[in-house]
Amino acid sequence: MTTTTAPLLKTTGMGINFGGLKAVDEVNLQVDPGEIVGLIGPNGAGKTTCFNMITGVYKPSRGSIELAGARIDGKSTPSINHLGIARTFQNIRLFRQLTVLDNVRVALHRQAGYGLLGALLRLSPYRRAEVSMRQRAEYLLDVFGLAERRWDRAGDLPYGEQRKLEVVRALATEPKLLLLDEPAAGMNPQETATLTALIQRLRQEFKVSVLLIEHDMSLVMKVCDRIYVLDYGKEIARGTPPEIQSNQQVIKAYLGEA
Amino acid sequence: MTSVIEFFTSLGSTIFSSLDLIGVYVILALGLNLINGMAGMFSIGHAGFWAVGAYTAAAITVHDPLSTPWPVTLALSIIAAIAVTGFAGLVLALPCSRLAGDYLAIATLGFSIIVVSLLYNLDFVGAATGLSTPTYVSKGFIWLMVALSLLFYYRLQYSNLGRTILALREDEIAAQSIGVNRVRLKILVLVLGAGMAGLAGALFANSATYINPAGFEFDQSIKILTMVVLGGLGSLTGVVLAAVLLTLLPEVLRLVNLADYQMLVFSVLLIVMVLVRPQGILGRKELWDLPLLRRYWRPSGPLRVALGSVEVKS
Ligand SMILES: Nc1ncnc2c1ncn2[C@@H]1O[C@H](COP(=O)(O)OP(=O)(O)O)[C@@H](O)[C@H]1O
Ligand SMILES: [Mg+2]
Repeated sequence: MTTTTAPLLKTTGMGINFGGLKAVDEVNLQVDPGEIVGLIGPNGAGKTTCFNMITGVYKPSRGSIELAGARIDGKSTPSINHLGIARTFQNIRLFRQLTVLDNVRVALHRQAGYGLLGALLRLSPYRRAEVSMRQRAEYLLDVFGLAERRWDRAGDLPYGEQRKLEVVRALATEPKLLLLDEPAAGMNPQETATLTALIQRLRQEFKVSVLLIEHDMSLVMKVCDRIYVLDYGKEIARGTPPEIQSNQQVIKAYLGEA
Repeated sequence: MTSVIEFFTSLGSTIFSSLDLIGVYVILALGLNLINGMAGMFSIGHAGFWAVGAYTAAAITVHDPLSTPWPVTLALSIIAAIAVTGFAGLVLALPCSRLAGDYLAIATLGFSIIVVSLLYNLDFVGAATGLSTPTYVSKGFIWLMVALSLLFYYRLQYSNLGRTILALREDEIAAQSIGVNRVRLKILVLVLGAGMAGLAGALFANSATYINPAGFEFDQSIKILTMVVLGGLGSLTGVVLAAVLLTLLPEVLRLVNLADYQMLVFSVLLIVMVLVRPQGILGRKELWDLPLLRRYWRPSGPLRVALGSVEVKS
């Protein structure tokens, strides 16, 4: 960056309490355009809660969240998505009864450009939009190797493919920032390798920045430019993958948990 | 032999004379299926919307406030019934759509009870005696409206809007994460479902010789709900099938002199269904998903032509 552009995502002193528990406290994250940033830490550290605050599922008790310089904390989940943040879920949340194709197509809903009347009359705007949405969905499914599955019920997919489908669905909303919550959980090494390549492709081809929660350290170290480490809701370290790998506090946090 | 022929003859005429009522119930069940099946909300007072539609239409055809020729009066009564009932849906939806599911059930239940007790006391619509209504619509017209309602439901479901409604049913949090506006969509669903009940009400008021408050009591709401559950929440063709069967059932029982056992048969049928096929006759499938029919036709839309592929997975 030559000019001083605002970071894509910036949280300042972000925190939230659940009852007496400070689940997240004083967390300052930053993701710049084009970056892949890791967010790691032991179970219960508050990583998913950070995602929930960034996407408006929870309202932070303290601090602010900015997207490209504009405050987004306090906005609703749908409007935060419209502004350019999409996510996947640690406990998969697909539209299980819908087809794989429809899981992606529904995420394209904002580009339809026809409403109730258009749907009822099925005039040319409807036809044009449906054809282009179908093509876009097919393309994205193809990139992620799911095209063959288009007519399967999403709930019938094997675990690894469900995780990939969640990424496709999020990507279909054309976000600037993609939040991935343990995308490799439950994947075999081969699937993880494919996912690694896909995450890198997200940046190159789809121009999205990524904030990645992941327990698979080889994946994190391979794809991330920078990493934040949380423990008990607080940041305990930040740095490049080699810096994090040799950080004593990080090692202790992970060993202490095991 | 002659008695068998006699039976089928009277069965035929029973079905024929019930055709208008069947059509009304099909539209009612479709509207509730939109709310409870497609959107996964839980409304239980559908007869309340039906009553609003019927009485709005009747008030117009009986009092004929603009003194218009009867086809115009009929058209006005249908449009007004849909609009007023849709508005009632909007008023109920506004507070409920922000709240969790159970509130809608309570609100619609309360609404239907209030509507009926108001009707019992409003003199200008005949109070408990009800209203004698002109019969402006034929069976053919009713079934034309049924066909339009089916087309409406079908095209809504297989559209951009329909997919977002289905997504909301499947997982509200995930749907919102891809930018689906939950409140707006739930309001729309309730307005459309109520509006369909308004249409059913207008058709009912314009085909029956009289309407009274007793015809819209809570047992009617249960009946419509049973059609939706029996047909398979969310299944378009299943719900139509259930609406036809459940409307005919009491008539057929009367025919074989078992009218006294109507409630018993209903209850046994429900229990058997819940035990044997809790997902309803067709579950979430449609008639065209059945192997026999699938060979000949399934929905496709323009995409099948454009991309050479089939749209709906069984
Ligand atoms: N909705 C909630 N209500 C109460 N406690 C919560 C809620 N969500 C998360 N927590 C608590 O916050 C802490 C952090 O959880 P989470 O963000 O899921 O951790 P991680 O994703 O890092 O494993 C945990 O102690 C968890 O029990
Ligand atoms: Mg988590």
